[in-house]
Order: sequence, then C-alpha cells, then structure tokens
Amino acid sequence: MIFLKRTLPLIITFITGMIMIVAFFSGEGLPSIKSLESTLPKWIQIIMTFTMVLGAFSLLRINLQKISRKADGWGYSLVLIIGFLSMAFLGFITGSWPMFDKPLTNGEIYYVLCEDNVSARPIRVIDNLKDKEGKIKVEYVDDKGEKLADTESAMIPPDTARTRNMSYANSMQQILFVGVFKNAQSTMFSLLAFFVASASFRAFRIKSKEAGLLMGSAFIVMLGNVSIGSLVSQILAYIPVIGPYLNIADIKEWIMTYPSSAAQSAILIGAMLGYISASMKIIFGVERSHLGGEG
Amino acid sequence: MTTLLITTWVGALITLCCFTFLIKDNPFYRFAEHLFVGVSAGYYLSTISFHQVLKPNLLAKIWPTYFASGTAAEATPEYILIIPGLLGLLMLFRFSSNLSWVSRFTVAFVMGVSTGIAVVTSAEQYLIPQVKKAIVPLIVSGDYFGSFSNLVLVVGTVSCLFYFFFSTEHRGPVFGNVAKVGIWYLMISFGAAFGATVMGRISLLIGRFNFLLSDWLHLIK
Amino acid sequence: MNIFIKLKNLDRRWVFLFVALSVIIPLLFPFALPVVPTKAVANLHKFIENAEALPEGTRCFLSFDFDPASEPELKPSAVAILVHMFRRNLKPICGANWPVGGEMAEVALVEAANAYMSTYEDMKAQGKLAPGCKPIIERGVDYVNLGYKTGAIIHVKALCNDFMYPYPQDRDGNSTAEMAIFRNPDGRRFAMSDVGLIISFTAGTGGIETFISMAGEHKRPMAAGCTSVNIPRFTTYLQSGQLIGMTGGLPGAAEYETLIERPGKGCAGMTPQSIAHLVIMLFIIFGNLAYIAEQRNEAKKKG
Repeated sequence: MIFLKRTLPLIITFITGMIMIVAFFSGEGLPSIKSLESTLPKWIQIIMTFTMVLGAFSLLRINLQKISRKADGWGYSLVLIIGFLSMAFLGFITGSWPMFDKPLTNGEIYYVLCEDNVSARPIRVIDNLKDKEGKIKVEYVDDKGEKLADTESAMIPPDTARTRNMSYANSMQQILFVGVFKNAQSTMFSLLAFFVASASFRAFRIKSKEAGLLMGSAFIVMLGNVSIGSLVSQILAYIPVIGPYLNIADIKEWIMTYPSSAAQSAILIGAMLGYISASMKIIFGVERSHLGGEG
Repeated sequence: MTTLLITTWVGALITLCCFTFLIKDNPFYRFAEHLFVGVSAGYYLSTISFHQVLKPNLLAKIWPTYFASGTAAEATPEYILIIPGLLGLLMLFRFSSNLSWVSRFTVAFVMGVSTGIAVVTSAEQYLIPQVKKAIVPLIVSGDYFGSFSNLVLVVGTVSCLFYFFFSTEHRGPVFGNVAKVGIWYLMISFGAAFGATVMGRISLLIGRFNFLLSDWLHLIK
Repeated sequence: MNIFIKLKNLDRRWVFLFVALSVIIPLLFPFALPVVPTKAVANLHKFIENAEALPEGTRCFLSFDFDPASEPELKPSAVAILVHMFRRNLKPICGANWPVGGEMAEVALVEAANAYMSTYEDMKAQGKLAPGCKPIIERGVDYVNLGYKTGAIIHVKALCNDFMYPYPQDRDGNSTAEMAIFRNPDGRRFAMSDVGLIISFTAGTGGIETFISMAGEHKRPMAAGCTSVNIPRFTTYLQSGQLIGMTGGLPGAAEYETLIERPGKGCAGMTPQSIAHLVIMLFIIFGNLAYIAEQRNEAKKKG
C-alpha cells in the first residue's frame, strides 16, 4: 500500500520530469520522447481545469456546511450560494446555445448584442439562407416588432442571433458578471490605494541612510512617471549649472534602467537558481510536500 | 439599453458597498464580498472551466459529433484523451478523507511535467540572459556617461548577488562592504518598486471613480 | 512643529478622504498635461508601424493575462495597440492565460473595432491608414477572440507544438478551422511561426513570462503591456533584449495614445494620477516631519 500511496507518485513525477528534460536536449534524435513532449502538455491543460472544478465544489461544501450548522455569518454564506448557483446556471445555458443551433425562421424576431456588448436589440430575419460569406439578411425592429425608421437591412452571422429567452439569460449573466463580478473585484483592489496612502503617512519613516535612498528613489519614480514631472523639471531647469541636467523623467529612466535593473537582475538570478534547485528536488523525490500529508 | 442601465446601477451599488469598508467592516461590505465570491466561483465553473476549456479541448475531441462545431464535428474521435479526463476526475477524490491519496497520481503527473519544463526554460530564458545582460563593456570609448552607467550596472548586479549569498556572514573588508553596496542598490530598486506600486494603485482608483462619475452619474464625458 | 505631531495622530479616514478628493477633483475639472513617450513605448510603436517587420495582413497574438482588477491600467494600452493594429491592417488573434482574460479581450476588441470603424473615413482622408484597410472589420476574418486556456507555460508550449490544437473553437464556440484569419496562402496549417508579434497584457504571473520562457521554441518578437507594479521587473527583460517594447501602467497607455494621436482613458487619467502622486508625497513628507518633531521633543525632554 505504501508503494501505491507514496512511491508510485514519486516514480511518476520522476519519469514525467525526465521526459521533459531529455526531450529538450534530444531534439529530433528521439522521436518517441519528442512526441511525448508534445502530448503531455495537452493532457495537463485538461487536468488543470479539474482543479478549478475542485475549488468551486470545495467552496460550495464549506458554505453549505456553514448554513446547515447555522454558524456565525451563515446568512452571508447563503448569499454566496445563491450567487454561485445563479451564475453557474446562467453560464451553462448561455454557453450551450451553439450546441442547440437551429436554423432561424423567416419573419421571426430574435436578439443580437448591441455595440456596448451588454444589451441586446431585436431584429427580424428577412432571409435565413446564408450568402457566400455565411451571413443572413435581417432588419432592425423595435420592441413591438415594428421596423425602425431610418435603418437599413443588415447582413449578420446567424450564430449571433438569440431567441428571446436566451437573450434574457444573456442579459442576466451580464448583469451578474459586469455588474457584480467586475465591479466588486475592481473596487476591492482599488481600496489598496487608500491603504498605501495611509501606510505612507503613518509608517514610512526615514530612520537611516538606506531608507533615505529608498524614499529618494520612490519620489523620483513617482514624479518621473507622470506628466507633472515634466513641469517640475522645467522649474528645476532654472537652477544654475546643473539645472538643465535635472530632467526628472530622464533621471527616472536611468534609475529604472541601471541601478534598479541591476538589483532586479540579481533577484531574478537568485530566484531562478532557487527555482531550478527546487524543481530538481521535486523530480528526484527529495521534496515531497506537494503530495500532501500521511495517508 | 435597459440591461446596460441595470448593470451600471448594480455595479455602482456594489462599488459603494465595497467602499464602505474604508469606514469600517460592515454588513454591506460583507454582502458584496460574499456575492462576488459566489458569482466568480459560478462563472469560473460554468463559463471558464466548462465552456472555454473542457468542452472544446476534451468533450469536443472525444465526441465531436455532439460537442464540436463546423468541420471539426466530422473529425475522428481522440479516445486517448479519456486518460487525462480520468486523471482529472481523480483530483475529486480530495473530498474523501480515506481516498484522498488517489489524487496524488494526478498531482505527481502535473508536478513532473511542470518542473521538467521549468528546469530547462528557467536556465535558458532567465538565468543565461540575465547574466549576459550584466556583461557589458566598462569603458565605452567617447561616452563617459555610458561607461559610468555600465559600471553602475555591473557593480550593482555583482554586489546584490554578494548580498544574497547567506551561507556566510556579511563581514570583512571585502564581503561586508560589497554586501553593503548591494543593500544600497536594493534600496534604490525597492524605492522604484514602491513608486511604481503607488502609481498602480492610484490608477485602479482612477478607474473606479471614472466609472462612478462617468458611466453612472454622467458628470464627466 | 507641534502641528505635525498633531497631524500624525490624524484619523486615517481623513487621509482616505484626501486621497479620494485628489482623484475626484481633477476628474471633474480636468486640465491637460503634456505626455512625453518613453523609449520602451516608442520602440513598440515603431515596431508595429514598421511595414518590413510587420507587413499588412500579419497575424499578431495578443494574450490578455489580466482580470478586472487590473483593467483600468491595461485595457487603455490594449485598446490603443489594437486600434493601431487595425489601422496598419494587422490581424490580432486574442487569447488569454488568465481565466477572465477572454472577457477582457472581448471588451477591448469591441471598443477598438468600434473606434477604428467610426474614425475610418477621417483617418483615410488624412492618409493614416495602411493601403489595405477596409471600412468594416469582421470577427473571424480580421480579428478573433479565442478565450482562455489553462496551463500558462504548458499552454504556450502546446501552442508552439501545434497552434490550432488547443483552439478548435473560439470563445463563442465557433469552429476555428473555417475562419479566414487562420488561412495561409499555401494552405499550410496555421502555426506559431506565422505570428508576427506576441504581446501580452500582464498583471502578474502567467503572462509575458510564459512566452519568454518558451522564446527558444517560438522565436517570435515579444512585447508587453504591464501593470505599474511589474515595471521594475519587466525593465530587465527590455534591457536583455527579450522584449522589443513595453507599455507600463496607465502612463504607458497615455504615451501610446499620444503616439497614435487618439487620446483616451490613459491621457485622461494623467491629471488625477499626477495630483494623487503629489498628495502621497506630501503625506510622506508630513509624516517624516512629525517624526523629526517627535524626536526633537524627546531629545529636549531628556536634555
């Protein structure tokens, strides 16, 4: 059992790791290894999708447990579950539309996405036979089905037209995705701007020469990256002798290109050496934490 | 147009709920946070995992007649892809406390391939080019500033590498002083990173206020 | 100096309010500030403009490796670069290594396509379009959104082996085998070697660095649009020659918009960005003055 639970996974890691390394150096000399090198990444892409599925079900399980135990804050877990199930349902049915593709009927009203990519507008199919470019002829109508004045007929790909119910489902999905998901995520990250300002005010103290270097560099980069830096440079240009050389944007470029870049290179070299050694430890089975605990 | 209006108002409400966290943690923020987590998980499961990856890359290749579109629906099924499909399903054994070890085979497989690629590509595309970048002429004829800049680059890279060598103490006239120079370079770099971070965070805030003032309240164009 | 010590104990919510006002007021009362393109942005613009490097009709791969959190920084550059590509009659093929990248690509494509088509006549009259440009551009012919695929570096490796295999359908489920954008004149299957330029709009890991890792296999020129936080790191790739150009954050977007003469969200954001930076610098200065004042008071008490 130990062989199955611990040793076999280590053997799998070793074999697959060595295949990828040997394939890199073998070139076309070992065609079977080379073909494995192109096959294995395709398999990994499919496998990694299941990790997202795992994460989603894990989230569901934890929150359902919270609701069943009526733990503290279970109401919020209910909100989470409702959001999850609504979005999952809408996502499954709206994305499945191309699978149920039926020929569009002449004279019937369908819906296409507007330019804003969120709303839908009604159209009537005039001729459902595809032309040589694969498009069909439609006319734009209002919500009552009357042809809109001052609009001409248009040629559209038939798979962009949706039935009324599917169009509603699309709209609801957009409300949840654009309205909730995009805005919530953007806002949560934008809160960091406030905390950066607060931390700068309360905690950024120049207690040593090194901290002074940090602050000086930060100020030059902050000024040099924005347009007001060029105005500051124009003022500094009046200083005798060195004034013309005090272009904040140029100084910022030099700092980013030379001293900062030197440090970043060193960090990257050190990180890559660590990355390579950690990878070799995993391949050779020295590092086993990725397999989890006992059992 | 109605969908856009509803979407904008929902977005504005969620934005304001999240902003209330700046005053203190409160039910509006927690409601928005939990709704966001639920909606994102549902979106990742259905639209991303299933429709953008599993359906075209697995189901459409194993059963092209049902899941593929266009000429791909007439393609020969690739039954070999059942193997990665099964390996992926093994991941779901994580939910069982007795059988969670079954998922190790899949993890081992993924880790082996990923680390094998990482070993060679890290050396080829990161280690060597970064070392090569630091090998520049210290004297550029006719260009004093260029020579000085190259000297700064070389001294900086070497001194920072000295600093990151922790197997020995940073003491002594050579090691100690070179490591100290490395610290100065790191401070300049961290200052630049701090400046860039501030810039990034402010940009995100500008985006949010742009949405509120322009798309929602129509106070700006 | 005592006023600085009192300021030090200011409730942080007042700091939040100052920061908010430093962004809101310049947005409500904008004034123009000059935008000077940097070398990294100018190099990217020059490369796309160069008809020898990228002849008309060249397919370019754009990877949207960010989520809505980074959209304010990266979408303006993405739209500006897409508009420039449409004006040069280049054909962007959009993909994503981040899960929501497909949606980010869709939004940017729709905005760029509308911007190109609505200004087509003006640009043509000014002679700023490539000779082969059409008034209407179509999905599947002039651009395509292939959506997200898992794997990051694994996915890029799969693309290098066989570009079309991971993309049997585009993001909307349409078969890619029939799309005109992937057709080669000699009937050859579309491959990574047919891509003229790779650009990744990167918010973090799994972005341009996956393409850099695989540069030995695809050997395509690469560029990046990155968030401000990543600028110091990506500057090293510029210097080592692994990237031909880069737009960094919102200022990078503003610089590219200036180069293509189409001011957008990037340029509009420069004024509040400048004011907010000044406010934060003032906070740092006041905080340190308060610290110095405290140190002096303590020294006086001891002495």
